Amino acid sequence: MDHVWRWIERLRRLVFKSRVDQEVHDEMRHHLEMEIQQRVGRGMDPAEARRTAMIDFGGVERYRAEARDVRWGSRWDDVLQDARYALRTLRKQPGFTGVAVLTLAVGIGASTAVFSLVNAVLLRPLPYAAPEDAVWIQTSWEGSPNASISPAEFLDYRDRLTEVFSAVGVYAFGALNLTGDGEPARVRSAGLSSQAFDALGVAPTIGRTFTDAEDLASAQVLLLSDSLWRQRFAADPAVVGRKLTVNSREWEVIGVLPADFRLPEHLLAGSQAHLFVPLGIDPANVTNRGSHYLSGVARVRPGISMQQAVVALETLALGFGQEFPDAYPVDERFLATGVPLTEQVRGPIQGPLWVLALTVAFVLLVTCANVASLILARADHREREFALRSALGAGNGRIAGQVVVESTLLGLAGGALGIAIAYGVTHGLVAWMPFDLPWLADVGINQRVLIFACLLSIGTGWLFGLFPALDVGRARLMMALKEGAKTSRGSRRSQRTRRYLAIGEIAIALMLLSGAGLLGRSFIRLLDVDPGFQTADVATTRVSLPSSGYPENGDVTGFYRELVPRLAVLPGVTGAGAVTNLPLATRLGDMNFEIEGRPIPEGANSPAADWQAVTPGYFEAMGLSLVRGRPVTASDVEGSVGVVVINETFAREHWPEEDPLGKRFRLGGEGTQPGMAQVIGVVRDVRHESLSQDRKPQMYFAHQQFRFWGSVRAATSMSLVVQSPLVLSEVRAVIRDTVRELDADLPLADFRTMTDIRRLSIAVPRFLMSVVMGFSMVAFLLAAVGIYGVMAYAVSKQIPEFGIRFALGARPRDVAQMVFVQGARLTLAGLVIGLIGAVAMARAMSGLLYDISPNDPVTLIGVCLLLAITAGVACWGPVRRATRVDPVELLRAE
Amino acid sequence: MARAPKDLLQGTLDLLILKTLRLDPMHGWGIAKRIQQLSGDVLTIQQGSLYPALYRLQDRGWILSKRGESEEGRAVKIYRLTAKGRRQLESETASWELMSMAVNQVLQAT
Repeated sequence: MDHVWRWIERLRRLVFKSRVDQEVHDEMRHHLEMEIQQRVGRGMDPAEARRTAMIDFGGVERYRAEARDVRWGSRWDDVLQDARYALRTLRKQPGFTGVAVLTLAVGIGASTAVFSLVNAVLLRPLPYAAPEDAVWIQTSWEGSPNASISPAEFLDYRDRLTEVFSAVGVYAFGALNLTGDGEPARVRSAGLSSQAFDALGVAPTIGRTFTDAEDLASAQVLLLSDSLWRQRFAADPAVVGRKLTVNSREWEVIGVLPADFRLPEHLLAGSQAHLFVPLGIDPANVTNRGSHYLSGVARVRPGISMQQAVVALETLALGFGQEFPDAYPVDERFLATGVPLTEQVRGPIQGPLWVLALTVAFVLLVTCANVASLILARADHREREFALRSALGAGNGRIAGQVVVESTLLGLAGGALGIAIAYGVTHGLVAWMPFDLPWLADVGINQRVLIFACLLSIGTGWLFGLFPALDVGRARLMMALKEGAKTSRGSRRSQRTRRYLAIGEIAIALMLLSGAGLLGRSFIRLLDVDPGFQTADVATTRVSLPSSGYPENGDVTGFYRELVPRLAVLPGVTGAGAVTNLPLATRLGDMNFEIEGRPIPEGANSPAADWQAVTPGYFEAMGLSLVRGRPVTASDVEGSVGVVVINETFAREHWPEEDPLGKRFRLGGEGTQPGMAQVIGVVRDVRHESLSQDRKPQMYFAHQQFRFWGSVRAATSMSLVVQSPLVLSEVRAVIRDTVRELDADLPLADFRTMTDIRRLSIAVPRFLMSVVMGFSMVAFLLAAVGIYGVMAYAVSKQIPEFGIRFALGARPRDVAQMVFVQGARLTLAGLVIGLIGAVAMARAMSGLLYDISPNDPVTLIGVCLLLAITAGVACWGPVRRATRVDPVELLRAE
Repeated sequence: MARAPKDLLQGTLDLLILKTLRLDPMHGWGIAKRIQQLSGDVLTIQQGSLYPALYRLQDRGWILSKRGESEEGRAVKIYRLTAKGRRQLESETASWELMSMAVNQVLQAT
């Protein structure tokens, strides 16, 4: 209870200051009255009694002040007083205040917006239980740095590493046709091994996951994604046990996964799997170690360190070479290792985001430098004020403290406005982000971001208030009150500080501009890259034939053999075909081969090329020009000669001097009966994986001849490619109608134009370049303002000097030259420092550049010139002012 | 009459106030009088210094004030000891005794 009263008293004294003050006064008066009364009672003369009582009491005012000062929080009074004073002075100078607050708002707003992204993406744990214990299993060998896992390897990892891993799971992506109630839909799916859920650390919100037996038997049970459950089942909580028609068969729903669950690959992609089915790897049937198509995740056992687990995994994989020498030739250098899952997932986005964070940090520094410079200039004008306050007894610390309070206020005001700006910028950034992250939904100004913005505001306030405060401390020492003291040592020192700040701004602007320039130039090169195929007027959509409706290979090849010519002869269609892997949207696998008459020496690598299968008409529809020979045609059927069309790089690598047409090579895949392929044509190179990818040997097979390259099943899922100048919606309609003629239940997925696909493939560099360019323009403008400010101020301080020079016979040209030289020195110093920084920064971001050297001289020289010209323009005003000094008027004023 | 130095040892005034308030709540003047009385007029503190001290003790939570009436019926602030103040008094008394004993020993040794 006493505690409560104590705090009530404290607060009362803080809030009702004057009333409490009055109480002290009353108390003391009572004391004195009693004392006087007592003395008079003892027979003293009233006047004498009063006098002696006052003496014994001591200084009334002094003790009253002392009593007031013991008040809790009295130190805050000073601050509040300073704040009130600062508010008054800031209000009196709306120009200064406005510029400072706006500048700060830009810096703080941009930083806060970027922080909200970083916070949402990099600082947030993955949506799995204990994500720090999850390991991504990564396989690599010569030429394939990031490969997947083969079924046999998975079984080894699962069954032979139980000491370090509590669960090892694998999965593979696919797509299933969902029919029955409503529109037929093609839905992305994933096949998972039973332990995959445990390895990832995810539990269904409703129902259960697969049992080992269900996994083994490929049972027709499935889990739904949260969104599919809501769409298809209206979030029915009793969904478990219901039936779903998938690929024309009945499947049983056994569970629903959490709303934020995505498989690791989908955390950074726009897509998401909605159906989760058993993978069905049966150890009894697994012999093939060569086909790597599974993604693997393992969970480290409690008590085992990540490092121990990874070492165990690596050791096991290194032993494969001895155990299965046929499958792992020594020169392939097969390795497996573990990467923390978080790292694996964030990898692709980390680089761009850190570049953003760094850029915005630089922008913030420039804003701080500008505002510090402003405050310094203002502090010079206020020297008299400070000297006066100091003469009236304000301590050094108190005056410096006041500057800090002012800066903090400015920082907070800038921060408040900055948060408003950040709100807009964040939404813009998110809308623009090429990563369609599920996490981005809650990028925004949340509590954590607000705290960051507040700390940033206060921090920047202190940062830019620091130099002026130090200077002010010194300024007090000199006698600014002295009449006629025109330029003081303090102001000269602060002018020097301002020069350093301007140099720093130029350096930072140079770094940012050159970074933006490099990204911009590399982006322009990307735009200019010829992908090898035509993007205009080409539309594509994906068709997948369910095995229930198309059980035999003949059904599959027959469908496409029928469909493609029908599409090609439609009015308005100028070409139609189909391909297994669409360029710029998919990845390719490679296949080894051995050219006839060129046996591969023992221990050497056999050559390899990326492969895909096409239907007749594909090359024409894609505008992929044939350099020699003929394309795949309808007569290349199963049983006839296996044909292959190669690209120019393939031809150049293997037959540089000869005509490749008619040459033959044997396809080599393990465990298959490889056939002999005959080169029938050469096409141009296609940038398949990305526009920035190097040229690689590629080969195209005929879709119908799947057996000769070792496949047992014809590709059921193909991308239709239709070239047509028609409006997109019409193209879509005619494709849909034509497909429906053949199979009314067949859904079409991913209808897009090749132009879209191409644009999407360079979305990341585009985003990065635009944002960095935007931010560096901001920094550049601020730096220009900074140089102007410093020069204008320097000139205003030198006006008496110029007057004397003019009086002594100097010509305007001489004075102009003087000022220009001052500006040039600043600029040059900034450029030299900036160049060093720019080169270092460009090296660090070379991974984000395409076809351009980090030290690209055009960019560096261009940016230096731009800055030099800008500095010259910024100096122009001050120079004009300096040359118009009228010595007579000046002397009169003195 | 011997008078104590005007500036009492730091903390001594606090101790005296706490001691004075141990038995009865009192107003400011009463405390001053009681200290004077109990010390046989030796410790006449500069009376004004009592007030900052009272506020300091109050802020530390050792005493509390409330409105009350003086003997003559005037509205005054009456101070009383809190439980925390009582503990503080005990520990300060103990350390004071220890110190004065030590000082006495030193003084008597010569």
